[in-house]
Amino acid sequence: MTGGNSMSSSNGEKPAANGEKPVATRAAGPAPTQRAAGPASWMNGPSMERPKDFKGSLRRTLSLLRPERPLVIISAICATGSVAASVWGPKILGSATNIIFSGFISKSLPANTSKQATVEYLRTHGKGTQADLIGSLQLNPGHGVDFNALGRTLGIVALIYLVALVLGAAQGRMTARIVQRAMFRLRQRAQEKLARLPLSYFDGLPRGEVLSRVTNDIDNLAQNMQQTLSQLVLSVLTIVGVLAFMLWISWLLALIALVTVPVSITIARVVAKKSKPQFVKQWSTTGKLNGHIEEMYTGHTLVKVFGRQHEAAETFNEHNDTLFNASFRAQFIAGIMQPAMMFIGNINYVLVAVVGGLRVASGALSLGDVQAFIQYSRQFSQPLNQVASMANMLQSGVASAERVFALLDAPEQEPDAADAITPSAIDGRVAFEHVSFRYKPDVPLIDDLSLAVEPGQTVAIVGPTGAGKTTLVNLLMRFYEVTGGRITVDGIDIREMTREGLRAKTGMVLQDAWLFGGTIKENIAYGSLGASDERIIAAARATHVDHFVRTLPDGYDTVLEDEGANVSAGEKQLITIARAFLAEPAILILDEATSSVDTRTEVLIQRAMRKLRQGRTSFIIAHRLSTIRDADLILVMEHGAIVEQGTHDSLVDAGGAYQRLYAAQFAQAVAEVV
Amino acid sequence: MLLKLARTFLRPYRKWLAIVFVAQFLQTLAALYLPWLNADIIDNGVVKGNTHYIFTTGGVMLAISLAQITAATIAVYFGAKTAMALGRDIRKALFDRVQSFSTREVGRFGTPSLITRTTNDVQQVQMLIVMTLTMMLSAPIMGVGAVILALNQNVTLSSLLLIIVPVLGVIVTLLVRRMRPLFKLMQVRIDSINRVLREQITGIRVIRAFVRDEPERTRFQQANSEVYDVALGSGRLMGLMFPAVMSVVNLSSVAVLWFGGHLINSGHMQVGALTAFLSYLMQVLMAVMMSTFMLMMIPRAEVCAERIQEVLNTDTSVVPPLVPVKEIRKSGHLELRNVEFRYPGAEEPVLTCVDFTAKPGEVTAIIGSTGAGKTTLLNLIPRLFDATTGEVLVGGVNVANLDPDVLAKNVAIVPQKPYLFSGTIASNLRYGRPDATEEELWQALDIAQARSFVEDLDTPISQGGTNVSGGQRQRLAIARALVHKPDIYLFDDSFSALDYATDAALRAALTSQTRDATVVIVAQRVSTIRNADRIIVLDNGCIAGQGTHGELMATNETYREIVLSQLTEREAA
Repeated sequence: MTGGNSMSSSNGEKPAANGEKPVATRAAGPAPTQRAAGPASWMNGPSMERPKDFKGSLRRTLSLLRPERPLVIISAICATGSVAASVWGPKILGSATNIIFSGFISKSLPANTSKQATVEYLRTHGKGTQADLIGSLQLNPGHGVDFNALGRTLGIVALIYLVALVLGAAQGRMTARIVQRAMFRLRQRAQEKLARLPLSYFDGLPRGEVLSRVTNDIDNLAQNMQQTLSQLVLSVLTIVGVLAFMLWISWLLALIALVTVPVSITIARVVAKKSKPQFVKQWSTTGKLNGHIEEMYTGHTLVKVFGRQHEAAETFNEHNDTLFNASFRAQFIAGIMQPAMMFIGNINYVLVAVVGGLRVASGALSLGDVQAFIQYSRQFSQPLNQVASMANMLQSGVASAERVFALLDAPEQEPDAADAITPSAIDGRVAFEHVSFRYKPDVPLIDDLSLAVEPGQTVAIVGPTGAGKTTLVNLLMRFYEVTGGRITVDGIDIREMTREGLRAKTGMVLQDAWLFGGTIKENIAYGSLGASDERIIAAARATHVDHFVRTLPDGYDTVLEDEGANVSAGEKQLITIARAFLAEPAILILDEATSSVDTRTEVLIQRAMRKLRQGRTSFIIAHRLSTIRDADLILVMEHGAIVEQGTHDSLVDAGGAYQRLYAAQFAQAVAEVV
Repeated sequence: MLLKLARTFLRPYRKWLAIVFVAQFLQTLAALYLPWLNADIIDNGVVKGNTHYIFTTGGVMLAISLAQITAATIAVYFGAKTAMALGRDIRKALFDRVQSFSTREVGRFGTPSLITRTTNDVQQVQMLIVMTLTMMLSAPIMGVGAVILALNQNVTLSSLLLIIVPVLGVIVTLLVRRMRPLFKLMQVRIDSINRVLREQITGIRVIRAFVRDEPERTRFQQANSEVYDVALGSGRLMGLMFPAVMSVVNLSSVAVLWFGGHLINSGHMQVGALTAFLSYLMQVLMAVMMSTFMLMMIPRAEVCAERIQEVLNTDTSVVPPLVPVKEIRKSGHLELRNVEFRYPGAEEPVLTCVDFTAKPGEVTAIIGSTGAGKTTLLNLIPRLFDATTGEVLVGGVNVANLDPDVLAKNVAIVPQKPYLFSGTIASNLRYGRPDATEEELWQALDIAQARSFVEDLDTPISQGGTNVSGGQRQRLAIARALVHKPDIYLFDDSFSALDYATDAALRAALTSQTRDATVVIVAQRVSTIRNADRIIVLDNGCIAGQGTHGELMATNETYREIVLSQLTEREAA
């Protein structure tokens, strides 16, 4: 009754609003498009969004069912049959009532009189109405109800109802299958699509946005499809069938029943109009209250330490009370709808009873028909209301489908060339030859960059944010393709290799530590399927993961949850380092890999890494210069170009950009410590 | 769980509930009375050809309809009021409970989860209650009422209803029973497939780098198949529900006509009763459909209720003292006596044998590796956690016995991840001391090296402080602690986002303000803590050394390692 809220919040633990951790877009990447995604989204209340191209998207949504066409056709036939049968039923029941009624009247008449005589007798005695009634009946004076005829008629009705049941149940079963299969395929398609999308797609959209398309939108679509698809068809068929029977029985009564339709619609409109501002108020106060809750929970520590619990509770109570008043009003106004509709239905009922009664009394209509009509008019208003609510659901479903389609239609990354090679072993000689690259066509980022790295060398890349350090990694890993020049590994252009082949030889540790929701052990073994426990623990020891893992309640079997309350950022980073350590790649890339780790641990890891780096080509991007002093080659980057290169000592002596960076970080420290 | 929660929180609204019940009862009664009158029209009006009777009874029917809408409106009014009041009260109970939690309980549930429980979950429960009170409550009344009125019409025929109603009840119960676990499972599986996707999107670089596309695809397919299986199962059951209920009612009308025919023929029943009976059947059908609709809503609300109850049943691990000590004995005095902290069930403690004393005017620095327990140690002082063994004394009083407000006045912390509240710079700075003057605020900003970027104290701050940079946020958080003017300052790696020059300037300025206070600094940079009166070296949860920089350089290997990791030997010497 509150619009879309009950639908959108179905994701159990985490609503879309705060379901995903905010992920900083990479500094070197293109700016994300501005679309509000985040904790504020609930402030807007229920999304009353409409699809951009309803018809086209609806058609495409229905086309998802195409592979099930035979089943769809059979299910449509079943639906039609089932509705026809159940609509036909009351009419035949009506004739059964007529048989009983005739029998009842017949019995009250003397056995040896004819119907004609009775009618005339009644008319002369001034009982004209009753005479009309009897005149319209098939009578067999003196005899009671014709149970043979009644049994036959009722047998037919029972049969028809059974047919309706079988067809209806079959239809429901098939619909479930059709819809769920289509949704299974759609999910699968979306996931496979993700694997083929270029990284620029993910970097260009807020992460929550992509996520919401493949999760919330597909969920919403699945739910709506299941509910609307069969229900909509059934409701429309029922309305048509019932209307036809109603007109058949009596156009006058049908007219009365139809008059109530616009009345109902008007009432619905008025109620919707009145309740809208109330709902708006309810949602805006909900937003305020939720905002306050979010803030107080996130800043829980501060509230405690600064002793502000009383104030927090006071503000909470204030918002909470306002919400109570607003939502109570909204619910009340919206809640009146149901009784109002019932009232209209009842007026309709009364009119049918009175007018129908008069018609029966005058012999213009049979009692069975009035009884059937009453059943029809009750059946009539219900699907009408349903169609109205289905329309809303359909709209929301199609809007979701549209966003999923947009994802499915996004341009994919160039597939590997057919003759691309998968190198079996590589030495690790890496060369950038006149490489240029730009994220946005009109903003050059890297221009004519050349660089040669011998196997086993360690190359450190330093420079300010936005200098293009991470971009180099993106290019080497083929997350992005160079726009000019080429990158070779062992003399082979990496574009002539398969992406998988190239990446399988490369290990990578990133600044934001990514762990999946498995155990610590599984996370360490992520890049090396089937690694033995000994190797995993050895890697953990070497990267200083072992100690803190043992302080956790379940040790290596601790499951890392999204929040990972027991594992700090630095510890997460250590786990990812252990992962790369275990994978033993030919080329190693460390992109700010130890930024959340303290310096001493970093030194210890470096010692381990030094072992790991032997015989491997390594690229280290680092902020802290202390960590790269022993690199074979230090590249200083500024504005997408290498401005200086050499060893630590030679660069310090040269007195250029590196020396200035070094001085900024160290001079102060040295002055104080010494 | 749901029932228990509803019972607990509905208790104060028993009066309103009673009104809802009575109004719903009257409303339903009126709805049921209409077919009865209709039977009357047929028997006394139609059959006897009495048009006048038809009109007057029609008028009565209209009056009854009016009575019905009145009763229904009253029911909706109090129903909505009760349900919304219940929502308000549950929210309040949750909020108060979470406020009482220590950092550990908050960490255990996770902040986003607690937020969901207080907002969305309550909403779901509240919705269910609204629906129940305003719409569904009439279903059982309708069922019972229809039977009673049918009995009134004809006892023999009513025995049919006595069969039909239970049959319907059994069918619906069976279906719903099978559906409920499926619904619950569905939620679990949807959550898990979404988790897989979330991971695949956030970890796209790692997945591609480690060439795990194929295993990830399999993992997803498996999750997807699991969703499909459950969705298919529950979809089929739902598809069966409507035809099944419909058929029972339809076949019952057939039976009504057959037996009714016999009764009428033998003169035991009037013709109008037939029509009335069929109407009752329809009404029972509607009632059953309504209740099944509600029964489908229950599983989700039940999960929510469980999660709400879980929070309400969790007690804080930091229990406020029964008889709080309101007076500090030795102001600014801080002492940790043989403190140990471990997570329940963990193999190794996070902290053990921590023992030190700090006095006003002293700076104590804590240094150590990632995961050595530095932050945990700091959190023990404002009682965000409680030590597993040993004692933490602030001002000479065990924090466990100290009045929380007194403790808050005496200790201020600048957390590792500075968080600012929505409002203005001024409102944030005054967070610890609402009555601070503007002059004091500016003074604090000066010391925190924040004056350069603060032009106006009324500059708005967005939630979390996201509209200022990380370094600025950190300096504002420091200024906030300075405005608070506690006896004990705790800085948890609070200078890390600052460049070396700002760091140095800030610390120099800080010295004057904190001259009479006790300062504890957790730091990564040796330069930050070099001049501390006492440096505590933490290693694997133990104190590996204590002393001044010079002493530790001479005697402590761990400390030397830390220093050397930041400077070359020559530079450190």
